[in-house]
Amino acid sequence: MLRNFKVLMPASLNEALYVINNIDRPFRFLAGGTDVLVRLKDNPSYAQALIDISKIGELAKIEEHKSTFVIGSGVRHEALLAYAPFIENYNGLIEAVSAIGSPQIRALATVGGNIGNASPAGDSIGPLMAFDAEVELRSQDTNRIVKLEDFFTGPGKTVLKHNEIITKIILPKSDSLKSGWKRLGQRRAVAISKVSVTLALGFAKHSNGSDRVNDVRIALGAVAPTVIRARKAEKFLLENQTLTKAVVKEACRLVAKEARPITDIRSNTEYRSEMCGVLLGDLIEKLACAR
Amino acid sequence: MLTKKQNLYSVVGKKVNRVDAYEKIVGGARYVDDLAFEDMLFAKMVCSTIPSGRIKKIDKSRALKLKGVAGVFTAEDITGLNKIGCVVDDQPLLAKETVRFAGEPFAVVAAETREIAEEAAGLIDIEYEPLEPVLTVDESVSEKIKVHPKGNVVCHYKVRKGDNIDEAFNKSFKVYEKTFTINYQEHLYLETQGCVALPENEGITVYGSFQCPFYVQGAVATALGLPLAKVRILQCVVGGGFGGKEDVPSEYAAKAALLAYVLKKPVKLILDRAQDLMVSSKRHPMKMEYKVGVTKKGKMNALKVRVLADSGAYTTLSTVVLFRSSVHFGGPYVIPHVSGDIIGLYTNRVPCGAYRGFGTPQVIYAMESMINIICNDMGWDPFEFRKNNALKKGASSITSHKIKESCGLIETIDKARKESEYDKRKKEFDKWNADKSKRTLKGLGVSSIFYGMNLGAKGWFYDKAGSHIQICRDGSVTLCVGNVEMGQGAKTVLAQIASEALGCEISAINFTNVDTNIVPDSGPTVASRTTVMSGNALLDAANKLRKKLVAAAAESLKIKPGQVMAKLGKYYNIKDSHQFVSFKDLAGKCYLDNVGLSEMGYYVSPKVEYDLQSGQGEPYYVYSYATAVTEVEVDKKTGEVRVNKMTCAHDIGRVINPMLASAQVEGGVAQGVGYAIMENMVSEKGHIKTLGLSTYVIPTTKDCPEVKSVFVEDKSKDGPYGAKGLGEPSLMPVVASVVNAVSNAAGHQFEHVPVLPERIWEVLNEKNSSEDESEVK
Repeated sequence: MLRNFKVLMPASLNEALYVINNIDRPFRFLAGGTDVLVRLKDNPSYAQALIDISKIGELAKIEEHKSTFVIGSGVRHEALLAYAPFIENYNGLIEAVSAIGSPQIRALATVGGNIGNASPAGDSIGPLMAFDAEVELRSQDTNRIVKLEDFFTGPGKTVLKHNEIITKIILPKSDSLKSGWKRLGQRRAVAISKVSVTLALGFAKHSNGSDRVNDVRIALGAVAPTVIRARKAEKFLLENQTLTKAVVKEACRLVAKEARPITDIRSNTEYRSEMCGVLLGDLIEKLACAR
Repeated sequence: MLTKKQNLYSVVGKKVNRVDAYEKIVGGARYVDDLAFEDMLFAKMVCSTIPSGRIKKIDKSRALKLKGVAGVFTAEDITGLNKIGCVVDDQPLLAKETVRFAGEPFAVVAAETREIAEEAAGLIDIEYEPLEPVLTVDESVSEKIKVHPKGNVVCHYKVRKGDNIDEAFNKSFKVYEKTFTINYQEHLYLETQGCVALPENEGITVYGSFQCPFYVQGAVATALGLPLAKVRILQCVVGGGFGGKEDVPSEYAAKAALLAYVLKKPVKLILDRAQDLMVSSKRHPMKMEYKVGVTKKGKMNALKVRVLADSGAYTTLSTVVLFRSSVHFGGPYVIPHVSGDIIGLYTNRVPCGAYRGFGTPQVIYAMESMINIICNDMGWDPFEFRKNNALKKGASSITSHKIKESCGLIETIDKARKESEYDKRKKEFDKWNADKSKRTLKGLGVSSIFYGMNLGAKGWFYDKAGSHIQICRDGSVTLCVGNVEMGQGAKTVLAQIASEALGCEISAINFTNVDTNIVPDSGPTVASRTTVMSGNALLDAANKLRKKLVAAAAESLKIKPGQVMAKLGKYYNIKDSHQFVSFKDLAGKCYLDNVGLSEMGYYVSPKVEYDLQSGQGEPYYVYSYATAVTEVEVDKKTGEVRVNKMTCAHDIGRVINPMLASAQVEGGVAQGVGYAIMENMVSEKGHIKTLGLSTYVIPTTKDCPEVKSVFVEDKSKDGPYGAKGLGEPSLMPVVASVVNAVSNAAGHQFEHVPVLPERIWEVLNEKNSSEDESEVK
């Protein structure tokens, strides 16, 4: 049940930065509200104030720059899914974001919110991390860029300071990468992922004319305290270059070892680890065949 | 056999649209939380946070100091008796000295707003002396720790048929044994439990979401120390029940009524989802030991069963739920030698009670799994084996009930096989599974059931129903029955029955929700009994009215009463249908002639004879039957299951409304699929961990199969127009048939429900590694 709390509605980013610099009580940002309101209903002490940033237009834009796309933190999932360049070149991101919640949730929830919530199971985080995305964090006096991979420090925990706000997600252009995302949930829709894998692969031609892998990014969701990159498996695939059956098998084995999942009400350690390998194998097959 | 006689009726048997659809679609239906009254207070229950302990002290003082708090009630504030047990007196309305499960209410707060009530609930201080809890049926049956002073056995039903069971097994050609376990299932009705109590006329009126307004009436009267006539229960539109609102709402209504009665203000008590999940009853978890002997010719000759059921901290409805388990554990089969022990046990966990199927889906899962094991081992056809052992007219069930009428089991088996194209699919699936390059395994599963209609031998005293019909002078009709519409379509089906019997248009009928001041105690809306019980009660009233209308029509048309026929708003000359008088005009004529057109109806379920000592006799007067065939696909690498199709053949006697019957089957399938492969209530040390919709996961439409429902209409002589019930049978074969299909795909009979991907993967993995090893050798 919602109790008494303050709602502040800054009209601009500057106003918002001023408010969080001066506020004297524990607060949360209200963007889509799909996580915050649920938490607040369960636990009234979760926040004493909500800062409604959902009306700040400058946070709700997607811009194309020379070598990057800049996604405002207030961009709603629905808008991201409709953005043509992403549909064309960021299949893994589209697949992941399409699976978040339900159409109703995707109409409200924002990209910044999914990141700020810092759930190890946050579905948009894996592909963004695989594409080496960065986040811009601003306070009234500071402005810093942090790699998404370095942003999370634990479940629900990030490096964001109390007077900072996530303003942008900076996504490097990567036309040469093919990507995909797969997950397992407790049901086929409206489910929280119990394991998810993002794979992005870049290919080049060998001197002998055959295909070789020249770029590999793997991100794992819901199998560690934060979404993680599977660096060992990435390195192994990159070194081997050719996706033979034996190489793929070994990469799947490695990725299962890199996962550090827990047993909880949704699944167990062993299954989650092994499924990282299974999903990676599926994605490699899909991306290698799709070319 | 099914005969395709032409339907002589004009409303019964037709696809009539739901009479309550419009108001629900436009948002006009009023659920209990939509009600508001002046000066209404909001109540919140305060519940135990430990599974077992002695209460040392409850301190209300901090809560009472909070502005806006109208009252904090504990056991000592109860004006009547501190008891709530529906069948057995072992449960207090508010815990006084002992708490027996995490979630047991010990206080209830009323305040001016919901928010204040919630805050106040957090300010009530309780000191416990924690006790070691009993958390499993094995711990409970050992009796090392007693949940109640009298011991841990809630009930023990025995069924003994035929010779000494061990000798019978000695004569079997082959004997199979296996132990199965099954978890809770939560009802997860869309609308959580709730009610509003109003002090009125020196008594109390309670509005709410109930399956049995008469249980609520009794519980409120007991708690307040009032005569029943001072307690009026008014049924609201119900957002789903599934058994969860049979006896359980009495607990909340009695608390709200107590606050309202003492504080002299309306009180609303609505449970939020987390509290509803924590404190309300569930389907019984069970441990089921099965042993089946078969003859060379494919007959089951001996069955030995021991079931340990987790009843939780209080009896609630366990004694009647487990009675049903004791009748249905052998399935719809003829088995000459049977020994069954169904034991309900107290634990320090949430009380378990009624849930669609009432103690049978669990034992059906075990029994039908045994049949699957037998057929796979012997290479017997699963349909032929079931037919070879099936109940039919003249045969006797495991309780020695000789079936006299309305038994379409064999027809359901034949229809399910044919309509599912089982034989064709089986060949395709065998070929698919032989291809090692395929990512998935496909499987088919079969299950047959029977289900005793109405409350049966253990509940015959409750098995009555009343009705009231009034025809107004303009020909419009008001109906009131004692069973409730909770989403199942009762209003529509009952309106069809009344319309057919009265000869009026269905649009003339206006349904009044249950009001205990209008209709007599009609028992609960459970046991798939509403169509039969309230239908017959309506027929009783309607036939009295029809007699009067026929006499009036005969007078108008100047013909003999025997020559009058009625349908769809016209009373006409049987020889010349153009000679008629309209229902409306007849009603007007009767009004002016001072012929009263208001009648009560009453119906009592046929009496049955049953011996509880031996578990032999007629437990129920008649049975519904069904057979289901399920197609599944299992991912070899992830263990995920896709339930692709279910074909369900049901014998429910006369189908009153084919459209609603199919819808009922689809709902049962969805709920059964969730139970079989998805819904996993996790408990840790007596605390339920899955207290929300993101953790207690039920199927979405994407998880539900295509459903093909077909009907066998072997009519029952005691049912209205030959009808039997469908509410529970629609769910009952689903779990067993899904699990059999998954088991046949995976090549392993799954011994625990829900069958989760984690377990399937583990099994397939073990198989793989042993196959790999044998390849090396």
